[in-house]
Amino acid sequence: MRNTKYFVPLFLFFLLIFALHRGLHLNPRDIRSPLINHPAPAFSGYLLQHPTEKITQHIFLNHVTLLNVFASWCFSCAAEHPVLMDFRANYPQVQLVGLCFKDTSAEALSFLKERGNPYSFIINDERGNIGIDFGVYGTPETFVIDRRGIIRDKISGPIDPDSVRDELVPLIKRLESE
Amino acid sequence: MRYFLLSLIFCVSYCSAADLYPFHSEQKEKLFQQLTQELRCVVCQNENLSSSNATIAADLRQKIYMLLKNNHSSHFIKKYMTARYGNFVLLKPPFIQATFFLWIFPFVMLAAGIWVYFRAIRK
Repeated sequence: MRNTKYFVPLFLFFLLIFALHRGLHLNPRDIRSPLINHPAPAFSGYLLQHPTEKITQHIFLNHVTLLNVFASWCFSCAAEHPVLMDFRANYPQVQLVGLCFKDTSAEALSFLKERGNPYSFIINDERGNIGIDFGVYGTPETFVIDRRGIIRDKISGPIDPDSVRDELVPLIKRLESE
Repeated sequence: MRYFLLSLIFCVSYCSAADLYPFHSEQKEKLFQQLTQELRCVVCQNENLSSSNATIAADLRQKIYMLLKNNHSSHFIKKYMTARYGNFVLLKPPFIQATFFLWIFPFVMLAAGIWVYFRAIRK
């Protein structure tokens, strides 16, 4: 029994292997937003299609909202776009708000004209200041906001049919019954 | 000659940084350099805001510049950034519950090493 101590290095070695193996399967880009379970940041912007009409965070009240950050220059947003069009068709009761991030109105509008507009409202964030308040670091990003205007989830990167089915829809169903 | 050219390169990068974000006081300029070196560019993972070429890094540098110009403290600016991007933006992780082992573990290992060492030489 006095030889057990020789197994200590082996045990530590396996512990290290376990830790490194786990590290391999973690996604370093998957950073949880500190805004989750906090009210959506206050903002004041203008609608993309109606540049004289103001829009603020009050838009989120009394609706379950999907806030999608996009831009016409963003390649993955174009890839994500059909998923949003499907979402709009299948879940018309969910308010889909677009945040047009660091884009010119003309280019954003032609992007939507070409591909269709899935959004109920689009906030024009030409300078990216609203995006910074939402902690946007790359487009596309999608936030789920409940009826009280509290951010409940955030997906970084494009949403796909799988993430809509497995993550967004169950959460939206839950928020709708809250 | 080579060293002269090399020094020119550094001079150019230094000058451009100072020109892009002009401050009236030297103290604020130092604070700006310090903050952009301590905050992470969130998309490039292991680069700080000061050396990153990503657009988001440029936007955040501009934001820090404006906040400093409006006389906000570096504490306020770090709070501002962590409220939006999480503790991840801090290149030096804070000492909190989630990072307890990260900070403590090296010292524990060091202590264990010293213990094993002294036991071994006593024999």
